[in-house]
Amino acid sequence: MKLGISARAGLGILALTVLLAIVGPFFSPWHVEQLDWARMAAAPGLAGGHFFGTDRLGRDLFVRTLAGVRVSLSIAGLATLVSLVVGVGYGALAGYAGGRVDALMMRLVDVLYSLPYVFFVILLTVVLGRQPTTVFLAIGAVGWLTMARVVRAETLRLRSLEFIEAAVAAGVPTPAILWRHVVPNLAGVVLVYATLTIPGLILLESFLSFLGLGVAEPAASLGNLLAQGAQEMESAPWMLLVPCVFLVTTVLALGFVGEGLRDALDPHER
Amino acid sequence: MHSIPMSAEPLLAIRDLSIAFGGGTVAVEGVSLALGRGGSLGLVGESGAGKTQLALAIPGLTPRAARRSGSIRFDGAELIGATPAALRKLRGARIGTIFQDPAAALAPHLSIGTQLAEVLIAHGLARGAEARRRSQQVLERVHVPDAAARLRQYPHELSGGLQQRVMIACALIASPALIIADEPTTALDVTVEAGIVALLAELTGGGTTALLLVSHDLAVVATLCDEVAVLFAGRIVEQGPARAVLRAPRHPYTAALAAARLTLDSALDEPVAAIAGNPPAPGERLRGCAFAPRCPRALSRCAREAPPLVADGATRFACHAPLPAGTAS
Amino acid sequence: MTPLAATENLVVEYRSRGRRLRALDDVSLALAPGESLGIVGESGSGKSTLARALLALVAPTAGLVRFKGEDLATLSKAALRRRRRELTLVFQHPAASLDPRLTVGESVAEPLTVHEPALDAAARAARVAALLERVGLDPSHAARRPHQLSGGQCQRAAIARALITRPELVVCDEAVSALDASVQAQIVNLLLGLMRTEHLALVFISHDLAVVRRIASRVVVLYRGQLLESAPRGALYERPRHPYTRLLLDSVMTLEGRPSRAAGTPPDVESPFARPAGCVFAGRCPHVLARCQSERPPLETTEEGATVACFRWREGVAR
Repeated sequence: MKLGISARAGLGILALTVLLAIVGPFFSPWHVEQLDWARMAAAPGLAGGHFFGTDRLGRDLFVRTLAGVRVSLSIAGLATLVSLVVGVGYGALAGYAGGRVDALMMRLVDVLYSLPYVFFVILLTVVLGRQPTTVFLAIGAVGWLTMARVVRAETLRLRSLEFIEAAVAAGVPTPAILWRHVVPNLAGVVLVYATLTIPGLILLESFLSFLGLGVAEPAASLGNLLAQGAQEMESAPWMLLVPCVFLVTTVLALGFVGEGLRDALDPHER
Repeated sequence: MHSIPMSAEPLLAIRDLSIAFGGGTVAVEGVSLALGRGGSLGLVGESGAGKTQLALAIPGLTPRAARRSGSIRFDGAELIGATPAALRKLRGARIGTIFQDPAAALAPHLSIGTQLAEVLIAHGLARGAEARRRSQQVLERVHVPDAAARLRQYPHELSGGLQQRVMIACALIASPALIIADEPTTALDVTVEAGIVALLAELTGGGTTALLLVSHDLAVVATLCDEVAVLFAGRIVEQGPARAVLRAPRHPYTAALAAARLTLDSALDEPVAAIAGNPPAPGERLRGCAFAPRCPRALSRCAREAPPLVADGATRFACHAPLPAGTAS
Repeated sequence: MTPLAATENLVVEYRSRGRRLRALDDVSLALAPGESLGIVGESGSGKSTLARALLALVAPTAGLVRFKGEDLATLSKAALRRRRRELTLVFQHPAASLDPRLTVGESVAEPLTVHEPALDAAARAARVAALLERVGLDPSHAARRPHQLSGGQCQRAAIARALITRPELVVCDEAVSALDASVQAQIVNLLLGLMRTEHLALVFISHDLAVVRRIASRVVVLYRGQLLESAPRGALYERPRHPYTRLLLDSVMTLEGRPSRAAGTPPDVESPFARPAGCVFAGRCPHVLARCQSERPPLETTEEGATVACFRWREGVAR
């Protein structure tokens, strides 16, 4: 599979970011929740080993930002996995079944889509409390919807292709057709779409955390780091800039990779 | 069809045209053709032979990745290297194009009348009521029944045959000197095809509009064209008066193509005269004669040297071991 | 003798945006074992629907489709699946009928995984290799994907897949129409050879009269879902009875380059949803009478064993 330059660059940047997020904290003496009384709201520099500076409470931003990257990426990654399994299964079934079953299934998707989302998240938070699991559930609950729609559309297109008809004519049972013929031919679309979903989910998590609904203090996520940074924007701009740079870079890199995958896998481009 | 005495310079003169793509694939190699005003030339060959690339290279409709070398002179002007603006002025106005699939070539969201008028408006030839009048006129000329009502209809409301007539009308509306038709009847039903072929014969037989027809169907070419050029692996292997070449070909490939056709008179007790092996992949470059591996008359020389085009009377062919003159296929 | 396959007054309707489209209208035909039947028709004739109805890929709205005497609509899912090993289909577009993600060998072997699950991978591979050779492909092609093969090679693979379960009837739906003339000729020869050696019955559907003539011993002509004429090959091509058959034959062009007689016939401009009260060809027929517009002509049998649906066939209008 040949990937273009921007996609390869994106992949490289992503790999670096993940590597940094995992390994980086070992290079710093500071801990995520550790307070440095001597240097509160300090600017980035080498003083005291605070490469990215500290926040209002004196917590090291280098370690906290990397922790935030880990949390945001894990939530988005896991939610994408859920959307893959649930979304692909649901969409392929609806698309292949067609008729009333399809109509019913997609109406359900439409209803879930039209739920007032923030309201739903607030309810969930009230019931389950502010933990990463809640955030994960909140994001996972809607992440699969668009995947289901995309997969259904693609399945509808595949269903009319002759090789599917040939399998039916040969007497292949429906589950085998779905598993052996439909799903593998969906792989291209699904892979591309999943890669493009992750940035969206990261932004969603950031949005929720920014609103105060997502990951709770003192844990760090890109979202709540951004929220704090926004408050201190004028006096300590690095508190906003650092998580911002990481967020933008990660989202852009994922975008490039997704586009590159699409170009590489799209059969019409061949 | 009667032959028109050609003026000093032919309407279309292609010399040594080659079309290559990146990676060494060559779609067309060293092709030279001429078409007089009002004349008709058919390009025949199988898929991958390069005939569509060749025809579409003339109005500059080949993919951007294609590199053309050689010369294409249309009405005295050199087209290779012409500015995009100059080419755009030719397209639709001096060179009309008819494509294979009318349903795909006609815009689904615009009415027939709008699409016809668009050609006139784009070239500043007419506007408004005058454009509408000429649109209706050209629809009548291509025998579309109920022309006035059709102007308001959309392509999907028409049958395949009518859609093709509309496409012919679009190509014709600005009275071009040359019409390029790329497999115009391949996607049509056989009874509809008969009507379209008759229409094309009527439109181009008068000697005012030249026709360059691309087709894999030898019979369509025999019916519509005065001259034929047979393409194989991007090169012309035989060229000459259409019916003479098709009835008594000199090149073994032309003979094999003609013999492989099933007709209503084919023998029922013998296998069909198929050509062994597969056509070469599009763009594949071969040493020596590209047909040698499959040719029943191949000599050892054929695999080493590509045969040049030699003339014999009105016919030209590229073969080291041509069929004797006068052999009926 | 029971026909191998037959349709009795078959009607198939589709619903499209609330309107009903009658793709097949009261079509009856029969095929004996080892016989080759040609079905000729243009777009809108219902020929593809007929192919699918014969294979129970589409359900009849009325009438029956029989295979070996059994009504396919009454079979259980399992019984129908068993029938599918005896009744196979070759499609029009060679590459599209093979899954692009599977190798050719896997596609050809698939029917075996359904109908002969007891075979192990090695046995399957052996059967596939043997069959690929039979259809003129190098067995090494089994490891390739469809896009690596030419159109003719893909179609040979599709034929191999249709034959691997040793069927009794193969339906070819425009199986050679998308191929170049020289390759078409190869595939026609292949089908003729296979019919002899495998004792196959063939239903060959095409709009190309010349190809049908070479393959089929009996021909049926469809127009807008109705059967207009059915005759043994010699009779149909030399002594057609229906004006539409005459039109089809006249439309065939030759290397002589003479314009065909069919050019003057008005094109078919009626909507496919229209259900005329009279003869379905009345709008284009050069020999139409007033009666033709209001009454549908019944199928009558001629002395040569042909059937034709035309009020004027005895007058020799199709000569």
